[in-house]
Formats: sequence, structure tokens, C-alpha cells
Amino acid sequence: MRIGKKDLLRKLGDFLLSISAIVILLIIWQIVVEAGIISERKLAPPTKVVTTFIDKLTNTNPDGAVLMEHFWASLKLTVMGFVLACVIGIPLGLLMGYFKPIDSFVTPIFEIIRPIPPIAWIPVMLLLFGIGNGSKVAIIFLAALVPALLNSYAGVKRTNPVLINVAKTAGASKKQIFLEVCVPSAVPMVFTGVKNALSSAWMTLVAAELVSASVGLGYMIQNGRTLSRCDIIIVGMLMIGVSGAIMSGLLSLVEDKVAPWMVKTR
Amino acid sequence: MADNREVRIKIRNLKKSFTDKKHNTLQVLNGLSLDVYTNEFLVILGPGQCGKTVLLNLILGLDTPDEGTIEFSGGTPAKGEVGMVFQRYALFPWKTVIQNVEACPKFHGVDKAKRREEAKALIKLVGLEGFENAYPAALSGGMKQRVGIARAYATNADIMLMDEPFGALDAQTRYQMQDEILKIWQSKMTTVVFVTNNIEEAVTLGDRIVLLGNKPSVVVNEFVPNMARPRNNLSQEFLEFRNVIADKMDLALT
Ligand SMILES: Nc1ncnc2c1ncn2[C@@H]1O[C@H](COP(=O)(O)OP(=O)(O)O)[C@@H](O)[C@H]1O
Ligand SMILES: [Mg+2]
Repeated sequence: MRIGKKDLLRKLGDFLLSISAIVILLIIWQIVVEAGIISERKLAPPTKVVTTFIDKLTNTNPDGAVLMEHFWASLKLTVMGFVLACVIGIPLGLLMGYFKPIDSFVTPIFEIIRPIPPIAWIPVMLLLFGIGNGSKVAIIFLAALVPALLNSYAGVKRTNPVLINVAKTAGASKKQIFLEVCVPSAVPMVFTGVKNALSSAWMTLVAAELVSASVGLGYMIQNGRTLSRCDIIIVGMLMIGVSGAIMSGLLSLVEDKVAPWMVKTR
Repeated sequence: MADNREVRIKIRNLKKSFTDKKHNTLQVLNGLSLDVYTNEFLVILGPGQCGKTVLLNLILGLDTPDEGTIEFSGGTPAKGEVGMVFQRYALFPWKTVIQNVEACPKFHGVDKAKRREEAKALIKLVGLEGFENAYPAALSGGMKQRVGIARAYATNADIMLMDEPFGALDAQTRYQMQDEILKIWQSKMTTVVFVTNNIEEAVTLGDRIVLLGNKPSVVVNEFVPNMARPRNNLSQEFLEFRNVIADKMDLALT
């Protein structure tokens, strides 16, 4: 589709608005600290956060690793838990949505597991997988599994029954109806699930790294807390926030490729 | 239309009800009988919610009647031998125009080259050339239903059911589509069962018009507008015929 001049102008306007929101937030934040409304020891100002960030790129103090090492360690855990949750949760959710026996078989177990917060799994996971990465991935996996599975399930359930009728009148088999009608019509919901799974994965990271880590953003934050280094805590938090946002943006790009028929509402 | 007409679908004493979770029974069809003749353009006229879609679903075999029979000359048709143009289009949003049109042959495993060729011919027939690769979301209502019509004809069905196909269109587009559906019907030689709740549309299109009452419904009347096509909806004859049906329809509803 062609992008008109008006569209371009509006996009630019939207972009400037988004940027100014961040700038305004930073300015207020700086003023609040410099005016002494909140003490610098409790809230590091943006300028301090930036210098700490740059410093942490090369400095292993106080937590034994440079920022990128922490970042990669956390990224690995998050991505592993997230991908595992998608690989298992999406197909399972889709199948449960269509095949009653699978639904009846899985639902009771799933409904019991669902309300248990990921952090409550920590002791069990430690016993099962020890204090290595296995238990952390497992906790992140559980957190991400719920939205991945539930949304895929709902996507199939919400298939327009008339579209199923169209396929039936054409003599489609059950398998064809599932694969060629229910699955494609679930795609938008699956993507919603994947995005929520990604947020859940990042959100659970810090909790997972509370367990036993010696490297990782969660560990860095935890260590910063022990040492009352609020600048390091904020750098860690921002790394998680920004990584999550970037990955979510990448997912949206994939979505545009996989589901080009979806109308964008704006 | 003489009396040597061959019956294509013979519907006798059809009953259908639905029971909800609270065990309330809703009787929709209450002993409906009807003959559909080969190659005629039959209009089923009835008020909203009277069971028109339910009837078509029964003819399609998507649902089974509680009582009564539906017989086809030449035996029960295989799936795909009866085509349906669905109410409110019911296009696959993730398929392009051409993919929608070839969807039914694809379910049958017709090979790609063959179904593509047929789909292209149908797209031409409904006047959508140049829109083959557009997604339904980008089309107007009239264009969407053109896709719906082409998709139904892609099954090579000789019986075509149309469920209020133009119900969601504006008047202008509706008149245009009525002209075109008659042309398609004449070029394809199919038996058409066309459902509508619009009297004017019924008189414009039908070889024969059967009127259904409110549910639980049966056929309450039958009309044969012996007018040459194209019918002028401002002519004296047309308006008189329209009024006759309107009077009967009011009676049927009270
Ligand atoms: N599958 C179903 N379950 C329960 N009620 C139904 C079902 N299908 C249709 N009905 C009911 O039957 C009545 C007739 O519906 P329908 O045939 O869609 O009307 P219309 O004549 O407008 O096409 C409606 O009251 C509708 O609620
Ligand atoms: Mg209807």
C-alpha cells in the first residue's frame, strides 16, 4: 500500500509525541531529585543512570560481571523459557480448542496449575532441577505457558461457526477444518498470547534469578539492593523494560508478515 | 413454466426445533413442505427469524430435521454438489479473493492449476478482475458478496442456495447485484433457492415466490410473477404484484 504524505506527517507527529513523553518524564525525574524532593540516595537521577550504564559496560564491580554478561545470561533464560512455552503451549492450546477429549484431559490439570503464581514454584523447581539454570527456565516457562496456551485455545473456540459451515458444505474433513479454518482464524489470538507470554517471561525473570544466580539482570538488581545502589537497580530495570519492548516490537513485525490480512486499527 | 417441470428438491413435512440448556424448546419449522423445480429461480420470502437460514442449513445437510424428508432427484448429493452463498459474506479473512474462490475445490483436493483457472474465470464472471490478491477487509460489501457468489459457483454445484446475499448492501449496489445474479443464473443454468425478507427483491428475481409465516413457520402462500425480465420495479404491473404480496405478508404475520 502507498503511504501518502498525510500519513507520513501523522506518523511523524505520533513519533514526536512519543519521544516528548519520555523526555518530559526524564526532565521531571531529574528535577525531583535535584530539588531534593527525593533524596539522591533513594532515586538516582537520569544523568547518574546514564553514567552508571556506561560505566557498567566495562566495569565488573560491584557484582562480578559487566552489563552485557548480565544481559546475555538473562536473555538466554528468558528466551529459552519463552520459546519452550510457545512450542508446547500453542499447539496444545489449539488442539484443546478443537478436540473435546484433549480438552477434557488437559483442562483439570491446567486449571489447578493456572492460579499458582510462578514464584510459588521456586521451591519445587529447586528440588527438581537443582540450583542451575534448569529451575529458572522452568519457572519462566510456567509463567509464559499460561497466556500462550489460553489465548491459542480461545482463538480456536472463537472461530466463526459459519466459516466452519462453509468448509463443511465443501466436504472438508475434520482435520481440514482444524488446520485450514480454525488454526488460521486463531492466528491473531495466538499472537496476543505470544506477546503476553513474552511479557510474563521477562516479568518472572527477576523472581527466577532471586533463586541462586551469580549473574543476570535479576541478580544485578538484587545485588544493587543489598548494596543500596539505586543507580544499578534502575539500569537493570531499564534493561529489562527496553529488551521486552524491543522483542515485542520484533514480534509485531513477524505478525505483519504472518498475518498480512489483519486490519490495523489506529 | 409448464406442468412438466421436473422436481429437483422435494421437501415434505419438515420440522425442526432447538432446545436450550434450560430445556425450553423453540419450534422453528413446523411441517414445511415445498417443491423446488429444476433450473427455476425460487425465492423464499419470509420475515426475520422465521427459520430461513435453518431451512437452508437443512437442505445443505449441515443439520438434520426432527421430522420430515428432503429428497433430491438423482439421490442425495455429495458434499460440494449444493452451493451456498452465505448471509453476511462469511469469507475467509486470511485468504485473498482468489484463494477464497478456490477454497472449496481445494478442500476436495482439486489440483492447483485447474482450480486456479476456474477461479479466474469466476472472478471475471463476477467482475472482480484486478482484485485477485486483495484481502476481504479491503473490499466493499458488494465486492465481498461477489466473492461469496464466485466461491459458491466454484463447486460446480447445480443447486445454489443464497441466504439473503444482498441483505447488507445499500439499495444502489443491491439493484446492480440483482441484475448480475440473474445473468449468472442464466449463464450457469442452476437451480437457485434465494432467501430474502425484501418483497421488492422477491418480485424482481423470482420465477416463483413462496411466502413463509412467522415461526413456527410453514409455507403460507405461493406467487408466480409472470413478468418478463428485466422487471421494472416502477411499472404498474410490478407495483400491483408487490402490493398483493405485501397484503398477504401482513396477514401471515398477524
Ligand atoms: N443452532 C441453533 N440453536 C438454537 N436456536 C437456533 C439455532 N439456529 C437458529 N436458531 C433459532 O431459530 C430461529 C430462526 O433462525 P434463522 O433461521 O436464522 O432465522 P432467519 O429466518 O432470519 O434466517 C431464531 O429464533 C434462531 O434464534
Ligand atoms: Mg438468516
